[in-house]
Amino acid sequence: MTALAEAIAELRTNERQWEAFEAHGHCAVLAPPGSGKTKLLTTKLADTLVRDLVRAPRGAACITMTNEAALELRRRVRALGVDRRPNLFVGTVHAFALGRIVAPFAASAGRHDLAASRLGSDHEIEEAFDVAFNDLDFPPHERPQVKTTTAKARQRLDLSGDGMLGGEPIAEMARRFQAELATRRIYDFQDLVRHAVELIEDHAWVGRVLAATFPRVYVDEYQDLAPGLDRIVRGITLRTDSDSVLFAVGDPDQAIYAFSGAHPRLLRDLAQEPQVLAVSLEHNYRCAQGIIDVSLRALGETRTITGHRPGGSVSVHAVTGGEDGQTAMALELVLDAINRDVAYEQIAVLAPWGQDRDRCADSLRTSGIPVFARTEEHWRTTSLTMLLEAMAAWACHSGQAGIELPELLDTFSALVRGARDHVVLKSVTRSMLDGNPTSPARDFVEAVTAAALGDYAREPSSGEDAKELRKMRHALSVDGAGAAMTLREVGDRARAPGRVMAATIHGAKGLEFDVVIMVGADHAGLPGFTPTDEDVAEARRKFYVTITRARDEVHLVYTDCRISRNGNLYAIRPSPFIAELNL
Amino acid sequence: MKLSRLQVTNFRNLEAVDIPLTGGAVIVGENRSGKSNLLHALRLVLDPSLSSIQRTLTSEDFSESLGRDPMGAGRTIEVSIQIEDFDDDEGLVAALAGALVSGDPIRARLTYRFAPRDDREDIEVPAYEWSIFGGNDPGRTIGNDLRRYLHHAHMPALRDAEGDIASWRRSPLRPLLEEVARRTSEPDLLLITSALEEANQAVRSLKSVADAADAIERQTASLVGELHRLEPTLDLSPAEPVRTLRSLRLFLDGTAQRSLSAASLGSLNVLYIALLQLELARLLAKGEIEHALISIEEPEAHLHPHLQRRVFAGLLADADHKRSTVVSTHSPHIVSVTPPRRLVVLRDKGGTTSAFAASTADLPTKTWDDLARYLDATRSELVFARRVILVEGFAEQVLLPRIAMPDHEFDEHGVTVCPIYGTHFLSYVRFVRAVGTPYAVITDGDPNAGTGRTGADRVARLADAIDDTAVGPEQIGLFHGETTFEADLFEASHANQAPMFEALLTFDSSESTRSDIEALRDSGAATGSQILELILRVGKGPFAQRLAGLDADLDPPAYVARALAHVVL
Repeated sequence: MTALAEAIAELRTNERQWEAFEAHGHCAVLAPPGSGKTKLLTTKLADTLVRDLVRAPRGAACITMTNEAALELRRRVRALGVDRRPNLFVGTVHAFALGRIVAPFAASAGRHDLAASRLGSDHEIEEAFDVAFNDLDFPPHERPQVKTTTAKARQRLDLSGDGMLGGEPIAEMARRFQAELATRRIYDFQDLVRHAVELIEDHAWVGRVLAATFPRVYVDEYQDLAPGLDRIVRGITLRTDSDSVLFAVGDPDQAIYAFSGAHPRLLRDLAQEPQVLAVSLEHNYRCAQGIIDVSLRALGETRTITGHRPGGSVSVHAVTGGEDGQTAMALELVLDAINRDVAYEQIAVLAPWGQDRDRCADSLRTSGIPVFARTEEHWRTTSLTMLLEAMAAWACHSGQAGIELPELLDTFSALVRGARDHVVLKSVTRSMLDGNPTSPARDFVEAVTAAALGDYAREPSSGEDAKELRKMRHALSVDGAGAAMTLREVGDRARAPGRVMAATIHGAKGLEFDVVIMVGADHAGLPGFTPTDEDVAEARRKFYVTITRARDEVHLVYTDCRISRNGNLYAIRPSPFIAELNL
Repeated sequence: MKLSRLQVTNFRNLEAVDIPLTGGAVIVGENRSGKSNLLHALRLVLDPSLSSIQRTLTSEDFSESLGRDPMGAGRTIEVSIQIEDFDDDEGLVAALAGALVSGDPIRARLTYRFAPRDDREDIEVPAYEWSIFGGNDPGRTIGNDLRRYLHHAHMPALRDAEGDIASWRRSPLRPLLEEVARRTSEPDLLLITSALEEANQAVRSLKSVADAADAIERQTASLVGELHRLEPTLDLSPAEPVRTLRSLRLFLDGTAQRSLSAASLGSLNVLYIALLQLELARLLAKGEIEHALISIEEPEAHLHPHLQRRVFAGLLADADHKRSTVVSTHSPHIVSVTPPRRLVVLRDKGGTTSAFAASTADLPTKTWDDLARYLDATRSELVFARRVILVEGFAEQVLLPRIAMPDHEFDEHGVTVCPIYGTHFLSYVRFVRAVGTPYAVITDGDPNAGTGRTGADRVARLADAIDDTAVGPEQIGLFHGETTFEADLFEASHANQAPMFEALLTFDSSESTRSDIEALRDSGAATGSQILELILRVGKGPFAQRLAGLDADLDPPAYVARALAHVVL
């Protein structure tokens, strides 16, 4: 049986999954943790393409939120036997907005300014922000808060002056900021989505062309969508003259990006559209029953979720000694799991704060435990930087890292224009074979850039990949902040088997582990100081997401005091959510 | 969809050519005017059978005017096609989504570009590479995975139709036979297997066959030794049925089973086109391509005129939006069945080519239809001619070449006289102007026709409609006589009169007519209107034929002389 046939046979054993798989029209799937939503989505996509239900050159778009999730989707779709074909898009919402809407259609729609614009560098965007900020009467110390709120209002595409989004001053700030970006012929990610929405909504043909190109649109993690993407998706699939079919999956209970402008209710609204079939999955294949029961108490909502495995434990560890104490406890719990023969990669240490994550990661490393800690120091993860990191990992461990060369090269040639050329692949492979784990990482990155990444290196280049590659090369250069980084250190940024994961809660989204150790389960982290109702609701969902990452064991660790940014010691209480668990 | 524009820059003798198209095209032009280059330019963009090496041009492919070292100077060759009318076709929209230059109305552009690699500016002679991009952004390359849906099949002028059909790799028969092999059921295959085995057995059991096979076996063994035996057998066909189905051969002439090598070149070409059409129809039906463009170079080779018209009338009709045909031809027969809007004329001017598209003539649909009917095989010379004189009728057509002698030999100058059988010159003038043919109009003076209907009025009206900036009608080739052509000819010179009388007397007319002619001749004071009256008795046409048949020099009336001078510069 092929991998695809096997996957389909498995869906058949689950009534709800099968209903969604068989749906011909628009379908919204509400999927609790561990219910196999991504598998459902990729199987449906693969089946549609392999059975030629969509005929090339028409294709399909499969959209998700993060580059890591996109990489995972690509990997899964390939594993199900989908060959490279034209107009198959698997990637992030920003890559879609830029590569499939703004870049190809801005000029044809008469938006010549937009066509001549590009993604701004962080520095350029900050500059534009400062110009707008300094023009208005905000007190300078409010800058961080103004920045967050402005971003949120822009993410919501709502500059009406809504009180919840900072009112008229923030709306005015957003308008000025956008005007400043436009003057400089650059855009940021929020602008990119806004421009894409405008192109679709102001020019009927843009939606028509997209619907013709993508007769199937799949969206994963719909609950994390900001309104812009929701409007893009609706503009392609739910228009009256469109035969493009939408398949959306997500879980409003796991929405943890509302702080940045996402709207958890968009998926529920979509599910209630008359032409959309709503399917609620009920089986959690991941968590043991004990964990499911506790997680639902954490969520505080009534949900029908059936477990498949008995057992499961959630335990609370109150420690003294502040942050050092909780770090020591985390180490102890990790060592305990290792002694019980839990595989390294099945253990995760999760934290609400980046600082807590970094402390734990350092302590594990010092104890000789291999750690994977996703960091965005120096450059952010994009499809390209992640791939370079994975290539560096392969170069250092040649196959021992659980990363296979054919898959790397396949991803490389799919991502990089012109990289299907044999000569290019040959020299890229040569660079990996020549890679020396202890020599500076720049040698490797520069060699690959010279061989195949000329298009990205050329200025001005509009994409996110190009922008982060520039940052990566800059950081690794002789004068850069990461000049001392070795090839191994760059490779260590790639996720690989055989390593304990240290991550923030957001960074662990969509992942699963046998043992989850959460540090920082205090009220300062969840729900945070002086929370609004919205903050509390979101913190509760974060807590729910944390618990449901685990198959068998959850450990909640909190301590008695913390040290503030100014160096002051202050007492903290456990997170109020812990009491609600009734343990 | 339709091809709406073809632009070529710096490619061979097509230095700057921009041709508006209305779907398919029929390209005419004299030898070396660039017809083949134009088709090859099209192939550079679309033909999936061109290899990367064939798309990598050389310095010889640059227009000569770019100098000795066009690549050293970093010059660029570009071929762009523009495509319209496909918004109702999702497959094409999906294929061309990355190539749009306009969304409403939908319009896409594909460009082949041979240019220096822009990241090697430091090198003296830049490295060149070809690319095919969509829209207006050279950075947006369109890969073969999308281009292949706009399929292009090309038939070159000097093709070996028989060899192509016979060779397995190139044969248009191959995909059809492979489809046959795929669709034959297992039981049917078994049936064939046993029938073949039986037939092979019967053949092998013939002593003469067995002896021959033996002889070959022994002879080869003596050459290479027992170890390397080739084990030859003589069989009718492979017993493996799928292989047999694939090796099916085409025969012609029914039970006579004439092999292709015995068929005429004309039949082979027809066969080749038919097979190609079948294959394209199959690809379209299966959705493996979204549009099929066939280009055929000089398809008239070896085809009888009637067959040319029959075959190409169908091919050029573009029955649906899924097919386009581009043809280059010297054949008036093919032009005669071409919708005139599809005509593209290439003209060589000092080594570079100018292209003229008939579709640029501003004519209403009905008039195009009239033109299509007018352009029969004889009159399609209107398209091939280097220069054209438009006249009212047969008499002028017959007599003008005679009158022009000996100063202007029409065939040498490529002058064609086209009678339009009436005075409705406007649409013809617009047409010849659109196809870039130098022309003159010669029409009668008709001074008594009434206000607005005299030759002078007619010519003035024409001039206004064509080009109201012209200083006078004659500046734009419009000439009218005094009264009637024959009368004007008679009065043009004394020398013209004797041959005209002589021609009249060649007819077996009644006694009274003959004596009228002789009386007028002998009076020595005949007028144009008097001779015209006599001419009308025998008919203008017959008279013109007789007069032209006399080996006499005729002096042109002044307006004819000016018209000749205008058109034969």
